[in-house]
Amino acid sequence: MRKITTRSRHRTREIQFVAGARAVLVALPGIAVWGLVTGVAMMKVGLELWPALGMTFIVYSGTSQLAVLPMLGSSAGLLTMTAAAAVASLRFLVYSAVLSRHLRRVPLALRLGTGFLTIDAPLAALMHRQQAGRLVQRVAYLNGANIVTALTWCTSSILGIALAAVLPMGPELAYLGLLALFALAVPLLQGRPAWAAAAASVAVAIAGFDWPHRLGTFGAVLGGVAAALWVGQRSRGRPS
Amino acid sequence: MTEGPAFIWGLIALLTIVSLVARNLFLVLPPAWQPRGRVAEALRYAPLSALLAITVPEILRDVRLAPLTPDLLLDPRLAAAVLLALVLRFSRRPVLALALGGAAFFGLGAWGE
Repeated sequence: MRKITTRSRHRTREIQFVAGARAVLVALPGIAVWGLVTGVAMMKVGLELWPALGMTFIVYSGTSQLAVLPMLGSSAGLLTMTAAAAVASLRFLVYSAVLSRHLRRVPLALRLGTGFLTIDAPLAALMHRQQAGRLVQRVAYLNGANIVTALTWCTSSILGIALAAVLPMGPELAYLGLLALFALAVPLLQGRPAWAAAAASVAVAIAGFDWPHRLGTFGAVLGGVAAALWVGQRSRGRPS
Repeated sequence: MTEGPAFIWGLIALLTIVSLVARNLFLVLPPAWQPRGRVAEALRYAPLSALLAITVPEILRDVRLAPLTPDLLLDPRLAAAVLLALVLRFSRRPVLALALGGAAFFGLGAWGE
């Protein structure tokens, strides 16, 4: 009896793994294009093959990679670049808070591995599944989505790395990577606090162009968040 | 690029730590430490502010010292970003927006030379 239960649980896990993998299929073209652009951008700013592959497989974050690429060759220090990548990665902090509700009882190693791999598309798939009220074996579901996403990202990034060698254009091609990063910001412009955050962030970023150590960038993040909180508080305080 | 291999591999190590910490922080902290209230609200708007703070100076790199005239919109970097934002807002198709933004960047770049 117990054996059957274990086997059926195993089977459910397999089914959910495949369901997760299928759920992200729709996002794969986008992931592939972003991977391709990141691969090309890394080579066009002058990275060698092994570091570019290292970034693809070990860092596994288009956001961090694209955030530091324009800083290479600009005499920015390691810590400045790391801080910029950390700031650019703030959305993952939000994701980890959302994910923590789902992975609380999962063993630490599996939790950390799953957390590391869970980027935008798999988390969105999990949220959809939850809204549909069909959340069974969620870790298997999530990791099905994660594995397909990671495979697509790494393959397309390698393709971009290879493609960079045959593309005739030079470092200006790396600007595509910056555009890819900018495209992540546009859909977040929803609601008044978000627009306030954007306006303040852009204003401080422009004012702080020439501040040392990219302090303009970090000031812009603080300015944006402060503006959003202020506008959010004001609109809540107003009688509706 | 002027950085040597030690710098680049050091950067890769540090960026890996960034990925690990950002994606796992609240997975290892106890439930009582989960963001709520003002912290949760700040975290909600931080990604947008951060992405703009990083990309806008690069987008405006070549126009920041130019006089404010309509010609500014023909700057390849700025025009590409504006077009991308518009296409993305109205079509909600990121790949299309990136393709058109990229085309504008290279089209205007080639035309300006």
